[in-house]
Amino acid sequence: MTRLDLSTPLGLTLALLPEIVLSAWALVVLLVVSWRHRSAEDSRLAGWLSFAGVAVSAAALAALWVNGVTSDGLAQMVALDPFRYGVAAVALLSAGATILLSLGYLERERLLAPEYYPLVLLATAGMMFLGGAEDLIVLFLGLELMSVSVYVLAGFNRANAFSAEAALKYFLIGAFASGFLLYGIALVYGATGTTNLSLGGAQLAGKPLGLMASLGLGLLLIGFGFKVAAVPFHMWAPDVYDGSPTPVTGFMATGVKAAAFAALVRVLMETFPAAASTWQPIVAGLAIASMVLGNLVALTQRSIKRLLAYSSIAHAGYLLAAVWPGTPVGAGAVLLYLVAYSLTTLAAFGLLAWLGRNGERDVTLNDIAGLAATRPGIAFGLTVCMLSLLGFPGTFGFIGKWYIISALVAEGQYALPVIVVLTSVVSAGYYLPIVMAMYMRPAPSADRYSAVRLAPTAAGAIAVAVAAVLLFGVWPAGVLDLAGQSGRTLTQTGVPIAGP
Amino acid sequence: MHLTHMVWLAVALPVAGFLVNGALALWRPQAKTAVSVVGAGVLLAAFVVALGVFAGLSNDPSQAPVIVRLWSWLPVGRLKVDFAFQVDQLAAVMLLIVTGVSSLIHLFSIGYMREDPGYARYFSYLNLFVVFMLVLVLGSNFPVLFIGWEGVGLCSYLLIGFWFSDKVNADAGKKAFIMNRIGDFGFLVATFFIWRAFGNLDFAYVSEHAATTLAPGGAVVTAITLFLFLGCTGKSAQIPLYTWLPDAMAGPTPVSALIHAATMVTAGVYLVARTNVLFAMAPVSSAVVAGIGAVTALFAATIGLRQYDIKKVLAYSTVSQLGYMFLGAGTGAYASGIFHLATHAFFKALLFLGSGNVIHAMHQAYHATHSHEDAQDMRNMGGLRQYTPVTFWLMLIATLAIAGIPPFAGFFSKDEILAAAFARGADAPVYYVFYGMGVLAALLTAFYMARLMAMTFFGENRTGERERAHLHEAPWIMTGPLVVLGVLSVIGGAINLPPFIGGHAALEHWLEPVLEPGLRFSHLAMPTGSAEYVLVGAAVAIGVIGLWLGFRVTLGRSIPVARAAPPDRGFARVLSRKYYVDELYDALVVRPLVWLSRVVLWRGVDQRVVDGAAVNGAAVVSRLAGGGLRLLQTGQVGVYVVLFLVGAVWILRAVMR
Repeated sequence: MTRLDLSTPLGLTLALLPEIVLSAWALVVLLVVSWRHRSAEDSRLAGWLSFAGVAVSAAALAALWVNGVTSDGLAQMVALDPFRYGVAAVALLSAGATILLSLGYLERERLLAPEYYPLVLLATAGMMFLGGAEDLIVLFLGLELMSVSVYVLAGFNRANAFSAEAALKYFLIGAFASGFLLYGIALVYGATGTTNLSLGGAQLAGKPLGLMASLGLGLLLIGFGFKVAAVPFHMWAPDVYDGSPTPVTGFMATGVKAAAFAALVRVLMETFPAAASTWQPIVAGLAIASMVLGNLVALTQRSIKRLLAYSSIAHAGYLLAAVWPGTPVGAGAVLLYLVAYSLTTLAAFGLLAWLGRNGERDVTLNDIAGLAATRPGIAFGLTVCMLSLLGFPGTFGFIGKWYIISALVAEGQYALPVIVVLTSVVSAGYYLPIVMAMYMRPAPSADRYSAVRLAPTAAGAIAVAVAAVLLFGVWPAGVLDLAGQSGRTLTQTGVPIAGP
Repeated sequence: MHLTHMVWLAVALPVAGFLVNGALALWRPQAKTAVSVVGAGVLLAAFVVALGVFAGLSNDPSQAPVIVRLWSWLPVGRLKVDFAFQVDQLAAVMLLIVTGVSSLIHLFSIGYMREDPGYARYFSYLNLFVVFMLVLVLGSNFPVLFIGWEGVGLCSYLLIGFWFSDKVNADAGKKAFIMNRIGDFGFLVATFFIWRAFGNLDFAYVSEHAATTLAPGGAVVTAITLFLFLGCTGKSAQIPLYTWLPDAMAGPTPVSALIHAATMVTAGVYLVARTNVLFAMAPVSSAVVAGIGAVTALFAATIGLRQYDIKKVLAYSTVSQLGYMFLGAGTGAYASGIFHLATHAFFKALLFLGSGNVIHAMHQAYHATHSHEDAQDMRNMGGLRQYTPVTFWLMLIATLAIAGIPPFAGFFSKDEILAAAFARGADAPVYYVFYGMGVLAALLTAFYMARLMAMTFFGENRTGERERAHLHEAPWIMTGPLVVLGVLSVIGGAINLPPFIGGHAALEHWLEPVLEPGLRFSHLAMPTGSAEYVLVGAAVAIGVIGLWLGFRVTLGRSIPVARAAPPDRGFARVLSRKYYVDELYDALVVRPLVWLSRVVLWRGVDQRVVDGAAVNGAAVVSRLAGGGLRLLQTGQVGVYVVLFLVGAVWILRAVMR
C-alpha cells in the first residue's frame, strides 16, 4: 500500500503516469509519422512504436497496481483504486491487440496512413481518463478525447462509402448524445455544487433526490446509454460496427464499451448510491431491452460482422444487468465480464478481419463453410470465441456470466438472471451455426481457403487471447479474486467524506 | 531438500515424454529413434526418482505421510480441494511398481511396435497412461485420485482401440470405457457421501477422523464402501463388470501387459487398501468384497480352462488373480492384497510379454508366407520350445509362480491370502466358503496355465510346414525386459517372506503406518504352528496336482489346428462361450436401453416434443420477432434520432416519478 499526495505536482504526475506516458507517446508518434508516412514500412514503424507506447504505459499501470497505490485523502480529479487500474488494463489490452491486428490488415487493405496508430493511442488515453475519472469534467474530457479519435478511426477507410457513412452517423448521433451528457453534468453540478463524484454523493446522501438532480441523473443515463449502445440508443451501432475497418470495430466494441461502463458504474455507485431505487428500474429496462432485441435481431443477420454487432448490443445488456445491483460484487462482475468479453471479441473480430476476400464487409456463413478442414487453427479459434460469447462452460465467457448472475442473485434479483439465461439460449441460435458451418459443411472447393493466411502478429495476438479465454475458463480463481477486490475498493473512495 | 519433495518430478517426466512424443506423432511420425529414447528414457528416469523417494521415505523416522501441495484446485465455499500428492509407504510401493514395470514394458515395446506406423502415437499414449497412473497412486484426496482414475480409463480406451480402423478393436475400446463409467458412477457417489459425512476429501483427514465421525458397521460407512467397491469392480474387472477386460486384449500386447494386467486394473485393490479404515469399519462391505473376489477368482478361472486365444487365457487369468487380491483385501489382509498385486505385476507382465514374443514369432511366420491363420490361437502353435527357447523358460518360471509353487513369488502372496481367509473363518464362517473357492480356483489356475504351456510349447508343432522355417526368437530388446521380470518372479516373494521360513514380513511392516487405522478395527489372527504348515502343504499340493493334470490332459490327446477344430459341445461350449454373459447383458441391458432411447426418447420425446414443438417453435417465434424488429434499422439517421428521443423521454419520465 502506497499513498500518494495528489496536492503535490509529483504525486499527481505519478498518479497519472500511464495516461501521461500514453498521451506524450502519441504526440511523439504523430511527430515521427509527419516525416514518414508513405510506404508500408512507415506504417509498420508507426505501429510498432505505438505498441511500445502501450507496453510502457502498461508497465507504469502495473507499477501503480502492484504497489496498491491509493490517494492520501480525497481523490480530486482522478481515482486511485484497483477499479481504475482494471479498466485501464482492459483499455490497454484492447489497444495493444488492435494495433497488432491492424499491422497486417492496413497493409492488405492499402490503408497506409500511419496516423491511424496515434489516433488509437489518443483514444486509449481518453478511455483511461473516462474510466478513471473522479470528476465529471475529467469524465467528459476523457469521453470526448476518446470519441473524437474513434469517429476518425471509424471513417478511416475513406475510399469506402460504408466507412464514411459509419463515421458520419457515429459523429452526428454522438454529438447529439454528448449534449445530453453535458447537460446532465451541468444539472448535477447545479444540484450538488460540485463536480467531484464522491463529494456529490455526500451531498445527495440521506435525502430524496431533488428535481434538478433527478433530471441530471436521467440525462447522464441517456448519454451513457448511447456510448454503451444500449437499446433504444443503439441504432448507430450496427451501421457503424459494420462499416468501420474490422480491427476498429473490435476496438470500439471492447475499449470504448469498457471505459463507458466503468464511468457509468462509478457515477452510479459514488454519486447516486442513495438514488438506487430511481436508477435501478431504468438500468433493468435498458438491460432487458438490449438483451432481448440484440439477441433476436442477431438471429436474422446474414453477415457475420453485422451479427457480431448485434451480439455486442446483447452483451451490453448483460453488462447493464451487472450494473443493476450497484454493489461491490456487481462492480466486480462488470469488470470481470468486460475482461472476458474484450478478450473474446478482440479475437473474434481479429479472425473475421482475415476471412474476408476483398474487404470484409460481407462474410456470411457460406464464406466460412468447411473452413475447419483446411484451416483448423482459425476454425478452432473462432469456435472458442463463439462458445465464450455464448457463455459455454469451460470458457471465460461462462465465468463472466456466472459471476453476473451470482451478483444479481445475491441482491435477491431473480428476473434479470432468468432473462440473461433465456436470451443466452436464443444466442445459441446464431453462434452455433457459425461453428457448424466451419466443421459440418463441405468447403465449396478444395483450395477455397488457400489464400487465408493470418499475419504473424495477428496470429500471435489472437492465439494469446484464445488461450486466455480457455485458461480463465477452467482456472478462474486468480481473475475472480482480482475482480472482486477491484469491485470492493470502488465504494470506499467516498466513505470518509460522507460522514458529518 | 527432502527427497519426497521431488515426487512431482516422477509425474513431470512422463508428462514431458507425452508432450514430446505427442508433438512428434503429429509432425515427425517417422522419427522412431527419438520416440524410443524419449518414451523409455523418461520412464527410466522416473523409476530412478521413485527409488529416491522410496529411500527418502525409509530414512524418515517419523513415518508420517508427506503431503506435497502443488496448487489450490477447487476452492469453492467450504469445499477446498488442493492438487496435492501424498507420499506414504503405500504410495511409494505403488510408485516403484508402476515406474519399474512401465520402464520394462516401454523397452519391450520398442521391439514389439517397431514396424507399426503409429509408433509415436503409441508411445505418447503410453507415456500419458503412466502420468495418470502416477496421479492415481499419488493423489492425496479423492478428486485428485479420480483424475488419475478417469485418465487411465481414457488411455486404456485409446490403446485398446489403437488399431481403430478395425471395428472390433474400436468396439472393444468403447465397451471398456462404458463398463468403467458404470463403476465411476459408484466412485462419484461414494465421494459425495464422504463429503457429506466428513466435509473433507483428503485421505489423511478421512483416515484420521473415520473412527470418530462414522459409526462402525453403520449404514453410512457401508454405503460409502459399497459404492467405492462398485467403482473397483469396473476398474479392476470384477463380477459383474468384468466382461470388458477379455475384449480389451484387442490392444497391442504390451498394453495388455502394462494396463490390463500389471497396473491399471489393480487400481481397485489400491483404492481398498487406501481407504482401509472405511472397509474395516464396514464388515458387511468387507464380506461383499471378499465374496465377489472369491467368486470372480473361481468363475474366471473356469472360463480360462476352455479358451484357445493365448491372450484370452491370460485375460481371464488376470480377472481371476484380481479376485484373489480382493479376497485378501476383503478379509482384512490389505498388505497381502498389495503383496499379491506386486508379485502378480511381475509374473503376469512376464506372461503377457512372453505371449507377445510368441505372437510376434507366429505373426512373422504367417506374414512371411502370406497366410491368414490366427497367430494368437494356441491350436496353431505347439512345440514352440525349440524355436523360442528363452521365452519358453521365462514363461515356465511365470507359470510356476502363478501356480503357487514355492519358492516362486506367487506362492507366498497367494498362500498368505488363503491363510488369511481361513483365519477370518473363525469369526465369520462364510469365509471358510471363500477359502474353499480360493483353493479350488488355485487348482484351476495351475491347470489352465499348464494347458497353455503344453499347447504352446510342447508336443508337435502345428503352425504349418512352410511357416515353421520362419519361427524365430524375438530380439534382445524384447527378451531383455522379460529376463528382469523373470528374476523378479523368482525372488519377488522375498519382499514379504513369512516368519515360518525365517522372514519377517517386510512389506507388511513397511505398510503398517498406512494400514494401522484399518487394522485397529479388524484384527486378524493369522494361523501359526501346525495349522499353518497344513495350509501351506495343501496349497503346494494343489498347485502341483493342477499342473500335473493340466499337462497330462492336454498332451494326452492330439490337438487339431484351429481351422479344422470341431466346435465344443456340452459344458465345454458354455465355458468357451464364457457362460453367455455377454449375450445376457446384451439381452437384459443393452437392447432394452437402445429400444427405450431410440423409440421412446429419440423419435418420441426428442423429435416430436423437444425438436418439434419447443425448439423449432421457439426458433420460429424468435426469428419472426427479430425480423420484425430489424425493420426499424432503416439506415436513416432521422429514424435513429426519433427512437433515441423516445428512449430519452421514457428515462426522464422514470427519474421524475
